[in-house]
Amino acid sequence: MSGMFSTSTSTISTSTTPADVQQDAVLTIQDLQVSFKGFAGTAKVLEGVSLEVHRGQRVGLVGESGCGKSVTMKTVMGTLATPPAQIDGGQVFYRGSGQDSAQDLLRLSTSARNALKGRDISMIFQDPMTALNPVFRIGEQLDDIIRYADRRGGQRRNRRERKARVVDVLTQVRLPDPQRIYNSYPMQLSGGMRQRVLIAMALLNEPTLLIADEPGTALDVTTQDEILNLLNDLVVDKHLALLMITHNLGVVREMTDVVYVMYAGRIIESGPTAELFAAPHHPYTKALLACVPKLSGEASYEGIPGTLPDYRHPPAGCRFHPRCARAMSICQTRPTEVALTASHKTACWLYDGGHRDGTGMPQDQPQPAHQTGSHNV
Amino acid sequence: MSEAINPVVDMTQSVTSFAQTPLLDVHSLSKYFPIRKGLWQRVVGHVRAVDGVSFSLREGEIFGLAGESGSGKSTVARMVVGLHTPTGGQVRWRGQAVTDQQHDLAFKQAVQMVFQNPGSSLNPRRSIAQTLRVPLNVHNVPRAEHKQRILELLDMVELPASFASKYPFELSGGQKQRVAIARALAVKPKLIVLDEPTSALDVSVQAKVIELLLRLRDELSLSYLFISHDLSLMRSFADRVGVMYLGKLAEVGTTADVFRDPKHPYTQGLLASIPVVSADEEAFKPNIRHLRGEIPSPAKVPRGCSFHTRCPKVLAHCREDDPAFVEVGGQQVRCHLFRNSVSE
Amino acid sequence: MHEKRDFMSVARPPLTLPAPEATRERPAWQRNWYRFSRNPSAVIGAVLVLLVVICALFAPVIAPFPEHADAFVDFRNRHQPPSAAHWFGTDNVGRDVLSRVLFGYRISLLLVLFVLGLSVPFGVVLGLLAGYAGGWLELVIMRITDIFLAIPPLVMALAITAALSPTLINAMIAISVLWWNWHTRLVYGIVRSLKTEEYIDACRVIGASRWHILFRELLPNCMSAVLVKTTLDAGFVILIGASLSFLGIGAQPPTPDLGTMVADGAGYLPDMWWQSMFPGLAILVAILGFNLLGDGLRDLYDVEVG
Repeated sequence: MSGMFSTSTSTISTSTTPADVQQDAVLTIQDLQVSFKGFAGTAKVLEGVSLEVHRGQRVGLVGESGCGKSVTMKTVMGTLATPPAQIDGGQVFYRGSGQDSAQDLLRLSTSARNALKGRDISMIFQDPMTALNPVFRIGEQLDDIIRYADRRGGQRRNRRERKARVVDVLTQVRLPDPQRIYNSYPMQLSGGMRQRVLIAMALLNEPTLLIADEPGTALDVTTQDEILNLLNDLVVDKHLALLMITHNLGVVREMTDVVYVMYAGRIIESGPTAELFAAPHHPYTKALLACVPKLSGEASYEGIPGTLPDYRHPPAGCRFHPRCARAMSICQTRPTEVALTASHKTACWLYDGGHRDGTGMPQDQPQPAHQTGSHNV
Repeated sequence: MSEAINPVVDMTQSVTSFAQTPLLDVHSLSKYFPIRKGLWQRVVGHVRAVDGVSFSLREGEIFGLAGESGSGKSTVARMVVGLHTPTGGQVRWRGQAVTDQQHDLAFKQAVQMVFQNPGSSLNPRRSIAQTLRVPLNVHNVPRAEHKQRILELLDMVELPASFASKYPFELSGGQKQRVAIARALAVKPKLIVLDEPTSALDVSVQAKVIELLLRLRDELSLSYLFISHDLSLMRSFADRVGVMYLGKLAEVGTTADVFRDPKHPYTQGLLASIPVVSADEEAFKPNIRHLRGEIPSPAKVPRGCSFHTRCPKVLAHCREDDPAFVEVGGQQVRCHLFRNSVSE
Repeated sequence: MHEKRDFMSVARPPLTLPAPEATRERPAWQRNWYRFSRNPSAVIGAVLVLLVVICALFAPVIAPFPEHADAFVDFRNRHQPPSAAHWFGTDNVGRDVLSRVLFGYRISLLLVLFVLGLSVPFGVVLGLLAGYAGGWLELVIMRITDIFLAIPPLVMALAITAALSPTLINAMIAISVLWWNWHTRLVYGIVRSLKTEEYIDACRVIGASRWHILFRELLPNCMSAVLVKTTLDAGFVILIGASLSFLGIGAQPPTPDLGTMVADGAGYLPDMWWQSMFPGLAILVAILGFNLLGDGLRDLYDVEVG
């Protein structure tokens, strides 16, 4: 892997190029730490989140509510309210097309960051009902986005050029009669059409990185299915980088190439989507997948015992161990990430046999021999 | 309750024996909401939320109503418990028409409901004990027994006794739904209407709530009318299922039959669009063209078969005639595709 | 909503590190008090209101010359400027202004209690009924409310007291007649949005009585907004009461009313400024106190009171 490591040095004063940001990585989050100061103490909400999104790659960040996926997304987008939040460490590197070095978004000035957000990084919001302003026509709202991007980019397109661009994008998201949509108010459109407008909005300035927050979850299954197909086609056609944040495991499986599973502020398992879904390794991933109702009618209603830990007093070591059926005494110390295959990793002591016996091979059926007592709740 | 069973039933069911009398019988139920406009609020049209829905639910059964938003499944649920007055049709309880549900305390004791949104199903200003005391008061449980009953109820839904003094904001979504289930159980009902009880919950929490509901059904011999848009959940939870589209049932049958061999093009399209988590499940998704377009507004239901605007197998007369139910295999399907198969 | 707000609120380091359970179980009033105490204007408001209430309650004890509250004449000491003996000076018949201001607060607070005690419950109940019942009841109640909202309170109070007789009690009645409608509108709006909440549906499915739903389920959820509005109202009622007295149609001499005192002293301005200035300042303090407190409570409960 070392051959792919970046060797370029920084030319921008505000950024430092990490040693291990890969050449084609658009977004690299490294060891992100975020905490929240609250009434009853400090909550360490993100504790070392790392992930990578490459060009032309569809990446899923999946986890249940409260796992920190939204905080991760907000940190990347720079919309995290500080205070109460506080970024304690880590880097968020971004490298757009044509840039030869990555910039650390967390150390960028607000204006530089906003310019990047308007042009290179786009976001698709979750709720098509509230993400559009009801008092302006669709065309006006999209036109504004181009105007702001032009102002920052020093470009100046006239009204006709801008309209042509908007209509073009509305056509790309397969909206029928884009001229009519251009002159419509959001209330005149159905939920599915509004979601398409939101996607069009994100595509207007030809971004490199697309961040989608629970796309389509506010819609019905048949509409969601259409929207996801559209999004997928667009991302593949335009060779975009997609970071998709969702709680829906089915959507992640069908929509992404690489998946990161998050639990209590940490990535606990990551890998190629097909591989991870075919052979989940972390006990949390396994339990989570078992909880999803199956079309085949196979039913497992065991759920996962216990609840998400209190972030102010998280359990020592692996944050999942108090709920884990296979917890061992060693789980009291934080597990390091173990490579199961070339790109499939998990942070779990069950597979860390290699580190101890020196074989370097993951053990598929390890015995919890070191169990000294029950850590189950 | 055996006195309540009335042998006089509808002529269409004249041969119904004692054992077959369904617990709940929904008979061509309709609900039209008027659309009012203008200064004088004149009625300019109707939203046909529910249009002639019939199904029955046997004792101990879990009957599921599946459908997308606007299909009218929640409106059916609300009519069953008396939150809406039907525009037409009847709800029958053990063969007897429930006439004025608003005042029928016995019916309210027999049929309870659990709502969708854990955030709004509990009053934020009332402690859990106060919330659970409401049904006990209404149904005249002696005050001396309240405390004991509340602890029993909390125990039934697997919550510790200390929760009695907590307020809703201290509870997680799953815990709130457990309290909502306890509130429904307080009056010892026979049937609980579950209106998307887990759709706001995470899957790991959902699994535990579903497990609880199944255990309670066995222990308390309950029946459920289960409303959900989640077909995968429907598959593993319900015994029989009715798929609704624009206020009407499209297909009814046992969940095993409907999911193994869906007949109605809408059911097929719905199943095909579900994102699944394993390759094994892909086999259960019908291999057909995915549905296009969105559900028309219930205020403007297409004439003929209401699904014809999106149907991949649409026939000429689908645009004109509304099909009737036909029996195909194990299930009942309301589709012209099967008209010939019956006449043969 | 509560959960989120608690989580986001500013940290107060605990003196000793409590067990996780202990932090969770901390009662709601402690959190509320903490948030309230961090809001400077709310605290200032509370202190001012407390000051006014103490002055009113203990006026006979605190006042240097309690007998000056009523008809008392000491012409030798009239028009005395503020001094050690008379902190606020004396008025045109030689009465101690400070003593009369302290007793004046009693009249003001009496007015507030009477007016709000009468109009708030009336308005709240009508709002509950109109919001929950709907139909013709809603129509009748809300249209009557609208009619009353269209009349400026001071003008109406002038008309009523002029038509009856200019006494304190008539002024109180006049203000009360005009005050209920604001609470009706407030509660009506809240109930309209609350009645689609699922816990109300759950009560109906259980078979709970309308009385239970109105007063046990809906009313407690309106109370924080009503409390905020009532606190803010207190200041306005004092102002209107003082205005009526100033115009001579409220409390009549020799009742130590702040409005009357301002009016009486106004004739001697600007030379003997203390005679109307100190009663005027007293009105200001009371109104300011109630308004700051009301604003603080509004922030605390996060309610919209129109």
